[in-house]
Amino acid sequence: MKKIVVMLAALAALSGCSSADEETAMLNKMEKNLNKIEENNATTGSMIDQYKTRILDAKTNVANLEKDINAIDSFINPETVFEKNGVIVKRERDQLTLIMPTDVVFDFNKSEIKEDFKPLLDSLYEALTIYKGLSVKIDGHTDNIGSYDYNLKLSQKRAESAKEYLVSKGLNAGRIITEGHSFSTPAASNATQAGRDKNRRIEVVIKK
Amino acid sequence: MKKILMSLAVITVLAGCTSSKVEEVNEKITMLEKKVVAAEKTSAGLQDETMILKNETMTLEKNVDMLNTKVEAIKESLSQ
Repeated sequence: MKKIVVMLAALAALSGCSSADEETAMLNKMEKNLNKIEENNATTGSMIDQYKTRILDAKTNVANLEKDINAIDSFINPETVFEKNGVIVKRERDQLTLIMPTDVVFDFNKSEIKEDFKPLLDSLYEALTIYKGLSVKIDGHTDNIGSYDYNLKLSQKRAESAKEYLVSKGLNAGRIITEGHSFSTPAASNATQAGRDKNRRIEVVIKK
Repeated sequence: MKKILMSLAVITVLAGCTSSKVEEVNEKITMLEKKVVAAEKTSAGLQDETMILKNETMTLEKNVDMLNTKVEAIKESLSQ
């Protein structure tokens, strides 16, 4: 009788131990499973980051391509790009002339390019980077208010200023010639205000 | 008889210890189960996001390649 009681009690205790071991094994298995899922999640997360980077790169490429397309368009249809900004576009055979009134490009008596005109010069720059075979001549003209010499210097400075801007963007300086004309080559009569307004100008002559 | 009772008392204490260990392990299992469910939910979400992004990336890159080829051809013809 005594032996039976001892054996039963031992069995009960052992059965408890065995149950705890099974639970611990299950716990370990679950921990491993969780770790695996979390590792997979980390890998997937890093894949997502890579896709996001690739999407950003692709969008940057699209933006660059759009710039190229606009540049191409600005020379196929220069009127649509330049004329809305007060620039007159003149086509003569294989030559394109952009006539820019100086009050659009410069402040009165100044030779620094106005900030709001720079995007238009940027379009010109972009186009010239694509049309590599084209050369550019920038002519500065003034009205006849003031001395010839003063206006000569001002017209030269303004033409130079436009060139410097294009060169600062990356254009080869050798492709651009500048010349100041003072009021020697008027586009209209200097006798009227309207005529003088027309005479103060920068002409960008682009040819093959 | 006295010895039997003592042995039973020791065994009962041992069984009690084991029982509290089982409870502790069970609690951990419950907690882990919750974590696994959450991790699996996150995993499903991430998989969906990955698929969407993968498709978007493929489409965009294909379009970029196509556009790039066209623009390069135009540039080439214009620069001559």
